[in-house]
Amino acid sequence: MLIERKARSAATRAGVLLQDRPLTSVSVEVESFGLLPWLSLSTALGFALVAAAFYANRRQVPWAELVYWVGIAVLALPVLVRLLAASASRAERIGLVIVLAVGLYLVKVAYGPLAFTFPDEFAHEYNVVQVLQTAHLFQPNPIITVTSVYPGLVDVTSALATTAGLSPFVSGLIVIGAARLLLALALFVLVERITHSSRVAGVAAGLYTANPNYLFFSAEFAYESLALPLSALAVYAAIRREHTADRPAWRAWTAIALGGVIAVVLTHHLTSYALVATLWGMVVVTRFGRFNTRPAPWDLAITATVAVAAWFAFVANGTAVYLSQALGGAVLSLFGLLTLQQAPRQVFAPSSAFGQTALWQELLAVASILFIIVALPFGLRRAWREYKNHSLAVVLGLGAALYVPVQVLRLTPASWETGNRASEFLFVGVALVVAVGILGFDGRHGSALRRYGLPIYVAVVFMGGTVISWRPDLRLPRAYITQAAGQQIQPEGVAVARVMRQLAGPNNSIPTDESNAMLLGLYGQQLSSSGTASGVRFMLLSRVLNADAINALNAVGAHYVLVDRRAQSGDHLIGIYPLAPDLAHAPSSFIDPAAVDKFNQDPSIDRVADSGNIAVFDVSRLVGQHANP
Amino acid sequence: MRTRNDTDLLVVAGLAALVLLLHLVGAAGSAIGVLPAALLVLVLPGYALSAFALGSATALERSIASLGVSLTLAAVLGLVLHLTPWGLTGGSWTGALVLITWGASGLAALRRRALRPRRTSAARLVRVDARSVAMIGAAACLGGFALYLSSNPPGELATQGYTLLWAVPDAASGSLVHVGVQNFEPGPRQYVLRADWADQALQQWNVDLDVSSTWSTDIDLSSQVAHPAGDLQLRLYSADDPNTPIRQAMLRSFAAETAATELPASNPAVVQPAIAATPVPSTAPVPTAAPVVVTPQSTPTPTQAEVWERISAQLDAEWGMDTPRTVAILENYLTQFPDDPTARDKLYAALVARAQDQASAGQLQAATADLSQAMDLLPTRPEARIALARIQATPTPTATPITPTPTPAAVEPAAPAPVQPAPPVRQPAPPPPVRQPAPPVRQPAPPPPVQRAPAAPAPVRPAPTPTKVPFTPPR
Repeated sequence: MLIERKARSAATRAGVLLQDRPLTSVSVEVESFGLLPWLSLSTALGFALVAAAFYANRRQVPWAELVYWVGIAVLALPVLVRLLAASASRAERIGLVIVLAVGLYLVKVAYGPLAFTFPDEFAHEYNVVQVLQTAHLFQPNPIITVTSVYPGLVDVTSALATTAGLSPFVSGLIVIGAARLLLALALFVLVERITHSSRVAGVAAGLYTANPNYLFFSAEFAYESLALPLSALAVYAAIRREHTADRPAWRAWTAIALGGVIAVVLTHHLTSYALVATLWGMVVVTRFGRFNTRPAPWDLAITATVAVAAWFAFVANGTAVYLSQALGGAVLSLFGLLTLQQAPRQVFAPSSAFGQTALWQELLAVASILFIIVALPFGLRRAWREYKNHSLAVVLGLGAALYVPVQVLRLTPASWETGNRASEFLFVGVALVVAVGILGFDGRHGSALRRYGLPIYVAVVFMGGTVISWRPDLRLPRAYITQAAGQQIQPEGVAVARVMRQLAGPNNSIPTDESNAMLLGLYGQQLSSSGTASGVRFMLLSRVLNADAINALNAVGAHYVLVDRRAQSGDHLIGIYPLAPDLAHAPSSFIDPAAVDKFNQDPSIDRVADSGNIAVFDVSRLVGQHANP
Repeated sequence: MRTRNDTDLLVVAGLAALVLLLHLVGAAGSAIGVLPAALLVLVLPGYALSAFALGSATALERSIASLGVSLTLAAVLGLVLHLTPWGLTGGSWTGALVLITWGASGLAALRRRALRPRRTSAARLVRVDARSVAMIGAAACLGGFALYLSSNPPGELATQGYTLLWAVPDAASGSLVHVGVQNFEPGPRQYVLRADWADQALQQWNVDLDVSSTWSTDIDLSSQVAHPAGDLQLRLYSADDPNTPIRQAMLRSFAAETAATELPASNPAVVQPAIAATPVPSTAPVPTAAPVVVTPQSTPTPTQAEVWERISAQLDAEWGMDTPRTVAILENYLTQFPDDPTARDKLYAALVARAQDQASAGQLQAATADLSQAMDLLPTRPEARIALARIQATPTPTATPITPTPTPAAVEPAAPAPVQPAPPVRQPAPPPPVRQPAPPVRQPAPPPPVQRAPAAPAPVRPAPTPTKVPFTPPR
């Protein structure tokens, strides 16, 4: 027994996964948490610094950003470096992955601890509120229409809210936190199952946090934040079932995979398509690859395809329009770039909204991408050599290889978001391949490189990804909910939205700017509309109520119009915040006064609410006069 | 037969039962129920199902399955509940999740019993010492404190403070207007809210609001269906500057509809706060003036005595406090009953008083006009003639132009003369209509500061909402 225990401990230290053992005897391994307690403390300290930076930034303290970067580094880098170490036990690695995931999620929580402030979050919280009010799904959503036909996130959140009596906000935070934990652990076991190494698994799970969307975008209360962990679980179950000879266990893992597939289909469109592609990729590689010995997951691939197609055809057919607007523009823009008909987008261009990115941040971001690109060939080569008989490894390797060309999408304005959004999917493969690559590199080179090179590499990749993660002027949170005389002060748009709901009732059509549309939708329960599609933006900014403006009002059947004279209200990322003090007196901070006054001038329009920056006009008579017969 | 290894399943089933029990006794949202309920949604069903189906999995896999299967189950179960008559309610969620958890726990117990003789599970033990636990606990405490720190809202920005005014017609009754003010400025505020209808003063309120508090009322105009349609304007002033409106709402061509709402007959024009206020204002809003009743010209319903009785109360409130408004009330009355000697006497006195004020302010032309009007009204009385002679005898530097006092009327030429805010103390009844000197009329003064509790000292009051531009109504 002692010998067996020592042998297993040695194998664990070496990062070798213990294979399924015969279950007819008791085997006990004693592992240590190693440095986990110390690194938990360092992570907590890092988070405390980040929280202090957020606290300071909301109060316009100039050193807040410096503290933020120090905090991020203290939070993540010691853990990432420790994950590289060969001496850590499997238990310690799992603990570190959990600590890292929780710590980074808390950064997002501390970013908006009192209310959801990310654009997509308004739409999803609206869905939850609707379900809590009506007890049924598929209520129309004026903020992001397509979200209402993917109810997975709403289901889980409303379940928590109704059984625990929590608010949609708190319920949403808990659900996404649970999903993040699931993602971290699922990635760990996924890579561990492929590579048979807890060390590679830990490094891969750690490197995945360098994905630019990990810190904020994937942590927001949105359907993709739940769908991605569920898809990771489904894929893990799909490969796990092939590693068991136990028929009941095979059925159980198959059931988990099928359930995961269905849940992903119910939760998010793009993730379900990515899951279908992954499963078919595994089928193709298994069926036609020369080195595979395991059966292809035909059943799961077919089930996922049928489920996606059925859901798309019978429930979520509006998804095509929604996605075509984003992806169509990206394709056209990319084509224009490749045919030299369009100039590339200037990366890190100074912006009137957020100024110039610091040079060291630009360098870090570029270095991060370059470091990944440099490591990919080594990782792909080694992964092919060692794991080519694993269909999922091959599929993930292909995904990693796609990471480089996808970066081209960042070079056009229309395709930038598509390229950015692709990263959280492709980075699963990138994390695996890079982890395999750098750890293989570690084994063949000197101790100095191992001691300093790999930690620096991981640090640059992670910090660079964090630089890219969010818009510079929003990387640290602005004051949103404030307080005066001990009372919480909501943003102006929230107060107006609540008054409109109380006095005018819900579901009035109210065209407005992008940020107030979200607030009116969520807090006012109004059918708000915004943007250029129906001419709403033109109508708002027009100096006169001409025929085009009236047509825009008619097009949405407007009852009221909400006008915010702050120019930033047209930016759905920053428009919800009170006007920044340093911009308050800039002429460009406000829209043309004539754009507001045109509503005052019209004798058929009532001015029903006025908060200074925001005015609400009742245009029902005007619209009635010009309504089409 | 229960064995030691079924303890976990019993705990799972017990937690589920606790959630069900709390739901049945109506304590689902209580503090004690939050953690079990969260576990019921996020962990327990998955744990029970994985215990049943994944007997050979590792501890990590079972942990992942507990979380992942629970999330999966909730995502799919919601769709199923949506298709049931109960929908996604607390009861349906609790019932479904508890049943699944109990069922899976029971099956898992049976399965364990069946498999136990043949199988044992591999175990990985993690050595946990007190120091590690203490350090991880300290990390959790530090993280919790940091989160608390971050969730502490900052003070209101200098660019943020705002006041919200609304006037929304009732959807059901065209004669009812919901009016309200919310104060989100950095400190308590005193406001004056004026309502004018078709260029005629309607009502005025002194509104005193703490931070984040709301004042609201309903204006019911159902008794004034004969009033000519016109813009219903609500102007909100800061009590510190009663001449410059800081917010305005305007209902164009507003006409009261005959379909009146059911309101107390004793005070048909004003219904005090009908909308549930958020925090109750520290000082209850007291209308300083009863509404001006514009008597319908075409309806014979109210008699002269009835109308006079109604406006007498208004005159009581305004006399000596707001002379322009007093003049307006009396002029309006005399357009209907031009021969009423009492009203003519009062208007005469009010005109003379206003002229004296205007003369003191250097507005000699306006004073002359008022005195001339007074002489025309009661030619036999000497006060106006004497005052006019004094004004004309006063050497006026011709080079100095007459500068009108900045009033809302100056900002908005189409608007009526401003109704000055009155102190929230009722003045004595007006003097009887005997021939005596007109009562002195004082210049408008801001309302006296309201005494506040020591716990809420009056802060330094910056100009209201520096980023806001006063609304200028169109011509």
